[in-house]
Amino acid sequence: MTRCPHPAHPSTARRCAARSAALALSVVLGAALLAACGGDDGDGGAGAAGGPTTEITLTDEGCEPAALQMNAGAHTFHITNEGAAGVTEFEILSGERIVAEVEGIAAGLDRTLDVRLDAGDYVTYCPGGEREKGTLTVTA
Amino acid sequence: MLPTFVIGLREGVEASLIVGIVAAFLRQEGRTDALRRMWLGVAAAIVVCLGVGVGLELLNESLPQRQQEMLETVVAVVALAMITYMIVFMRRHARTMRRDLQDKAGAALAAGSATALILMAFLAVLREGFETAVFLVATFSASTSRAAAVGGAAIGIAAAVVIGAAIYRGGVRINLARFFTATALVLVVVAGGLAAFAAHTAHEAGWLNVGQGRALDASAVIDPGTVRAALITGVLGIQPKPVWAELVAWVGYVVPAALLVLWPRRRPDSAARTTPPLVHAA
Repeated sequence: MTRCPHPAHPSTARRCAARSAALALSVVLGAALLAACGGDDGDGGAGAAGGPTTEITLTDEGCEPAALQMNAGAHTFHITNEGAAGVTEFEILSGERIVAEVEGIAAGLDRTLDVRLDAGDYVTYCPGGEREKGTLTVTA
Repeated sequence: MLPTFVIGLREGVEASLIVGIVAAFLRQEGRTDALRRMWLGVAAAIVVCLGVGVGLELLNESLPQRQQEMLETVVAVVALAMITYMIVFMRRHARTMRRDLQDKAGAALAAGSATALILMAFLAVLREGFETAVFLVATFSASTSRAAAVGGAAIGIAAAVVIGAAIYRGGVRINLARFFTATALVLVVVAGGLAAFAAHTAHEAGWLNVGQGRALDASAVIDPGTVRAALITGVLGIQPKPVWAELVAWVGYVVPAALLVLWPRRRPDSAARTTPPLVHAA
């Protein structure tokens, strides 16, 4: 860890302290990210592998199909963008909270999303679409 | 090709904007040693992000989206604090900087904050880099017209780098101390963008779940999927349909900060005005 040199000027000492704090912060952040990569996402959101696969298509309307129903448990969503220009994200919302999301699905790309869903009413949200939001009902 | 170009451009500009500004500042202060370290930091950040992107693909893991959004939020807030400090410091020492460029304050600015600026550039690239790296890797496995997808993304990022270079060249030409007000206002807008961006990623991180109602629909101007939208969102940090939290963050920062910059300093300086100005190299 770098040591702050003998402060010739109080503001130099302050700046040095701020610098060290910033360095420490980024080290902590890096460690946190690595830990998060390896660990399990505790609240049952994204990360749980396996389960039945549901096909989602991003269109100018939003997320298709607009109404989904499935059983609680692990699910895999396969999201394909077949040509929608302004729609590149797929999110699953519970109220205002984002349960899981995938970004950067440009036209011609596809991505998968593994989620574990508990019973309840969710909203599928694809920003930029005409309709944007759809329903996702999960039964126990 | 256009869809991936637009995303590459937007993500790239969000990073190259900060890097360009930091590089211009360091160059202006004559800190070419710090500038070199900044480029090393930027290169390191790119390598780390590409490594993570490729690694995740090889391990067939998905990016931990929530954790990534948490990291982006924290980094954005840190960058916001740094820029605010720069603006306040510049304002306090603007008069001194204008009168004598060899002033101790100017030297202290150079010495003390060079490392902070380098860190800010490194973090800016890291912030956008993870998402961009994963996006790039996804283009390599595109289901249709892979060459166009990859090419578009690469050109988008290249265009962002060109914009950053232009900001650097422009920033170096302008005497930052002379045009303090203009420079500070540009920084205020960039920082406002960071504040709105932090509000957006804080929601995606699961930290901020209030104020998520639609505030306004700017999609007529910020048409999603267009180059114009990529530039506006990348530079100003404003989403096509911002929610209240993002709008409040942007206005809540920009208005007080702009007032701070524009507020005339009331200290009477009649003695200085009657004294002939120090002759110094312009």
